[in-house]
Amino acid sequence: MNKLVSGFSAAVAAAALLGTAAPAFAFGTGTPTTYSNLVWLTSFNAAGISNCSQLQIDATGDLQRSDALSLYGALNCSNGAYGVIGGLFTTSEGAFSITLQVAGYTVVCPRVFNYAGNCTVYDSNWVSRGTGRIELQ
Amino acid sequence: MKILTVTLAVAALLSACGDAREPVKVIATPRAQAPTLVADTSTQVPPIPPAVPPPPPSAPSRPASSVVRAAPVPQEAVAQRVWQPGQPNGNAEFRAALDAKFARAQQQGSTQAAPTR
Repeated sequence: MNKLVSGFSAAVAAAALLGTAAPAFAFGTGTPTTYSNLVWLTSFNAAGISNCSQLQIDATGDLQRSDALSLYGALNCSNGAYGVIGGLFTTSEGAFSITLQVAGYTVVCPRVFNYAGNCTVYDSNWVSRGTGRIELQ
Repeated sequence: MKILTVTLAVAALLSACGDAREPVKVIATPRAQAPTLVADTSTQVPPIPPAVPPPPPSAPSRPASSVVRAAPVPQEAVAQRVWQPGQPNGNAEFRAALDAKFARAQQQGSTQAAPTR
């Protein structure tokens, strides 16, 4: 009986391990590509970033298997640079959407066509603090 | 002879009983004793366990309406490495990759939108 119980416990443990590992096989991950040193012209009217004219970022992702890229880099301003993290995803209408976190703001550029688009600058309470524009150099 | 012996014995016994003046001593038997109380462990109430110390007090909860969001820490500007015109960048490769993706998406969309008969 003890052997039966211990065998059952081992089977349950094995099933639990398989259960936790199984979802990993559901991901169709591939090798991401990094597009380095992307240079964008920027203009914002929100306080603190109104003198920032250049966004210099890298983008990493697998465009073959997904529609998204991770963004990271710097927003170059006259008084220095702010670190930037964010994301980009392509839309079905041949455009893409960009969201950036920089200098305490969240910059949302929801429709970027032909590598240029308008943005809204939100503070940490999601209150709009200004607008802006980005354009790939 | 035997009959005589028995007769004498009975006679002696009867005489002894008749002459007895002493009070009869009653020897208490164990059955006559009151039953001793024995604790019934099956119905005994288990001892109360020692009190468990209360959990440490957690942070006081506030109503959701009174939660104040902490102000973000101002980000520090660091030294910049500004791209200068004429320097290489990755824009062309980035454009090519995204244009290819848009072209694939458009092709798949037109294929899916094509009427099937």
